[in-house]
Amino acid sequence: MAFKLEAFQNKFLPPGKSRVDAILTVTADASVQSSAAGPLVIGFIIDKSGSMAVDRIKAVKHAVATGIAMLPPTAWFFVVAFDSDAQVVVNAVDASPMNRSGAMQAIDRINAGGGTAMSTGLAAARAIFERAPNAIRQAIFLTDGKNESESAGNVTAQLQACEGLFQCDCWGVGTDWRVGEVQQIAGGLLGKASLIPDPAGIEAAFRAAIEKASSKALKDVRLRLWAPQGASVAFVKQANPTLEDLTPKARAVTPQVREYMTGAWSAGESRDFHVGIDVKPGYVNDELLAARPSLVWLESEGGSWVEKEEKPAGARVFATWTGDDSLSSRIDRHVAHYTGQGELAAAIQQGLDLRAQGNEAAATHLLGRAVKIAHDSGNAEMTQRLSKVVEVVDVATGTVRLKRDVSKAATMDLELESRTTKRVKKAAPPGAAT
Amino acid sequence: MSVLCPAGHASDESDYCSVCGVAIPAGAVAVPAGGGRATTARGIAPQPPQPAPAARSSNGCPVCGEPRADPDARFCEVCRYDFVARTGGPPPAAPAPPPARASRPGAPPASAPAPGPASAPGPAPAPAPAPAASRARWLLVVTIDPALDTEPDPAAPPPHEPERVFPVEQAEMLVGRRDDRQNIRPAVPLHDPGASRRHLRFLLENDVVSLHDLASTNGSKLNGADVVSGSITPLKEGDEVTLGRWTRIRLKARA
Repeated sequence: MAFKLEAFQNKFLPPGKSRVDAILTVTADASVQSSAAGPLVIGFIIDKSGSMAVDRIKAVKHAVATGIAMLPPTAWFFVVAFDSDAQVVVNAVDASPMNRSGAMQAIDRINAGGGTAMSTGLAAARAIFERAPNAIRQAIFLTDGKNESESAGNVTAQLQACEGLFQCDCWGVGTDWRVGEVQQIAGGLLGKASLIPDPAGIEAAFRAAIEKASSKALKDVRLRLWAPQGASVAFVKQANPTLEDLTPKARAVTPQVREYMTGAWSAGESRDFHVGIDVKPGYVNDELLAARPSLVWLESEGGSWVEKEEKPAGARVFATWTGDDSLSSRIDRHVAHYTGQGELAAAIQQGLDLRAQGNEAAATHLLGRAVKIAHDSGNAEMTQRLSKVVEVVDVATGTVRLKRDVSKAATMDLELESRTTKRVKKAAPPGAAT
Repeated sequence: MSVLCPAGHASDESDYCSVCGVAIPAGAVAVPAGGGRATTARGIAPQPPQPAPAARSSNGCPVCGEPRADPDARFCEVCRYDFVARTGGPPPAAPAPPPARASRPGAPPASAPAPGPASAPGPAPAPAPAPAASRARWLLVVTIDPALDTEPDPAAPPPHEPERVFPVEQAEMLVGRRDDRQNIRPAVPLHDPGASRRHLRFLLENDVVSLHDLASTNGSKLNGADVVSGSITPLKEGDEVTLGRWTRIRLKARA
């Protein structure tokens, strides 16, 4: 049992209704050994454009050096630096003491200068990762500016090529970069985008990233979803830890089975997914299996990679049609919670957009709504972040006033973290989950 | 190794069908891989149990052996096999279990024909008493017995109809409700809303009359005992078949 899979839903539908909503909670077993997943390859993709000069490039060099020093000896690493073009500073080597010291010297020779073309950095990393199909492949991407030296289409095209090949966590240093650009890279590569306001924070961020990457024990994990003939998968979203729409990333295994890449998992890691299936509407008392979720991953066995599948019988998603409104009108609290978290993220993003456009009345309304949802769902971190942007008058009704002097970092941080969700509160009334 | 789901799919899973998602009851029939049938229209509707395959006739239905009612008839009248699309009918690989009598709906179909023998013109055999010219040995005596009606409905009382006698002259005689739209014209037309259009038939072979229930909706009783749907039972003098709400058919040897 490498994975535990639970489904939460209200399986009762009124006659004629076809949408089945369920939350799938997937937890990796805490005792999984990381050795079975193959070696770890960490790629540093760093911005060396002109704007990085002096303080920032110095901090980045130091952080990369610290990161390399932290790597377990079995890991491999490489360093790519990009401005308007990319340069492989250190090609993939194992983290032996000799290779480490050689890498430190190469990193020290990086000079900041030139434009910013992020896709070149991704392309160079991709070329190296492609040569390590058996490894857990994690990239650490760092920039400080806008992607000005190329068209946005380059990044989109490059991300498509990289998708599924490696995961990438992204950091923006300072506040001169665009949240959307960095978030696009992180989102496309199953990672998270974060803000580092001060160059001094780079080291801590890298340290955390490498620690996280070193703990990965399950490789190329995919959420697989069977749906009955005639049904269609309306959406599949990662709901926790961050909101991520996986629907467009579906890969058809058979006409009835789709799978969604979720990258590498650590032992004990837990994530929630929200799935929506449209089945053929049934008659009262009809029961249908609406989805059969399973998890697939690769494990090394006798020198070759074997695909393993965990298909727990307890995590099936059903549709049962009933004429009893008291059954069908209930919303499962897990589904309700993540629907609320999705609304929260949308309210924050739209609210910040409207505020930037000068539409203060609408922005106040939406951010007030966000404050209320964050409070109601117990998302204290989000409430705290929101209070840096708005002045909360009344939490219960969502009455807020926009703050006048809001730091750019606080706004960017709120926008970046708006997709981070809170888990459902544990206090479950008995029998609430079906 | 796969199992047969109630809708007729070969399922890789034993709990819920891996094609249509419908629940598979315990003890479902195993089928060899790839033995699944095309899906039904709704994909999830369980099929009613079907009669066991009878002797297969070369120009009849390949599934149940029923002769094709009409060279142009599209569907088999017993198992609904589609002669044109070559689909439908019960799955060939499945020996059908005896149907659960208790699960049958008790309410008769609403589309009962107007009562009265005069309302059935056309080429149907004349429901007249046996003419003297007939040399048939066996006679079927059809009576309406209101005492059989367990749920009398004052709005639709049994029709007043005299006893009708049909000589058993053909190798098989269909008994049921006449339906001109579906071109079902039984040799023994019944005026009983509880009877199926093709309810049962009497078979004549070597001077022996047998009863064959055609998987009728409400079933038939032979001398008060339930008839297993699809089974063929030889009859003897004086046997009584009751069916529908009030129909009683007695087999009588000519004196």
